Amino acid sequence: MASTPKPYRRLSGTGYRNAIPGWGIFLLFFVIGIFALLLRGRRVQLWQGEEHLLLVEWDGHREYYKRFDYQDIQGFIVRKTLDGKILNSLLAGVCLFSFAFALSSSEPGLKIFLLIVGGVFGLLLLGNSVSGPTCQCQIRTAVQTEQLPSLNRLRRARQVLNRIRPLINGAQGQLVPEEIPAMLQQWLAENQPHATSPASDLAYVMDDPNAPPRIVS
Amino acid sequence: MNFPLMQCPKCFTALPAKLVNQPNLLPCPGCAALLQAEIFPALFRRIASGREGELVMVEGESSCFFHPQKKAVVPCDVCGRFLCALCDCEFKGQHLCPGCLESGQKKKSIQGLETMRVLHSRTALMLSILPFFITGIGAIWIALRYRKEPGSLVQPMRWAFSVALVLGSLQILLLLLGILFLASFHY
Repeated sequence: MASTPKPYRRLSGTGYRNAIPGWGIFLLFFVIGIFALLLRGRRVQLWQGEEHLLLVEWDGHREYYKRFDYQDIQGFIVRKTLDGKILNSLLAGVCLFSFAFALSSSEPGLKIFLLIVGGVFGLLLLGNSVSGPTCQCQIRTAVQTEQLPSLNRLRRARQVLNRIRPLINGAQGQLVPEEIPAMLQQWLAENQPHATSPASDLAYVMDDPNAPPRIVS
Repeated sequence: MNFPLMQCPKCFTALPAKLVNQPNLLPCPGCAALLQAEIFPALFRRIASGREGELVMVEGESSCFFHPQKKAVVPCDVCGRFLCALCDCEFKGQHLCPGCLESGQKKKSIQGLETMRVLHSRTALMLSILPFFITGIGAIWIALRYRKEPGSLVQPMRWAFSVALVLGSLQILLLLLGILFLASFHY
């Protein structure tokens, strides 16, 4: 029996659409324990479809979908963040404190407990360091700009971009780097007519008498 | 030259052309955040303006179901009603009226418009794993009630219903055995 082909293929990375940053959840872990994980929010994953990229958010009971057609994707912006370094320093701090207390403690039971705690946080530190620098990734279409929390590591974001770039180029055609300035010039001419008008010489422009003046560089 | 459409996500400065489609991270001119921006031809594509329905000029000419004064250009592929250019919603090669588009989304009959699914299979599985009597009953009820509902779009997990049924039944069976065991000691 021939199996039906799967319509979607999972792209690496899982993120959480949370109001509290990762290091905040880490600190909350010491206050409310394992329940801090409940504050991570919806789990987000990216899936590669035939015609579109599917953003799947899961809240434990429902799944929410957002589709980005390959022919509508205008761009991606990846910004390197400091979250990974902050988390690393927090983990290193806890690790060092645990080992320092373990060394100064004379009670064998407490010593072993603190060494285990230090070891666990050391492993987490190692894992976070090996995962590489953190980043924020945005996808842009004509009508929206959406955060992609699953692409929270630079290396992973590049891997995923390398995988979907051929699909987008297949749907839209390849953008030749030498043509970009000319295309941009044309776009500006079509969409910002006042930029070439005498009004552009002024420091301030008033389109609407009720709107505040706008500075034009 | 700056891209007015591509902005730094941190400081919202328009990115210079030399910063886009580069293989490495480059600093934003506004906030020095390290960025990598990639653009595609869709960025320069002109957005097609919406069409207005033409007025009916000749008597007897077919008109739009929703706007009797406008000329019909296409029938709805679902209900067959005549539609003017304004009411014609084109979706994946189909011409639909706004009503059919809305009902298609609600009834989940139009593929590609679905924005949410309830994952009963995972709920049933989760309940069957929780070690309480009532959760076992809940798992069995959900597994029987929603076994024909479509699962996740990406990971359907149809097997979870069967597992939930088995685990839920086991849970109830163990609890009944426990009660019988305790009762045998009491009497």
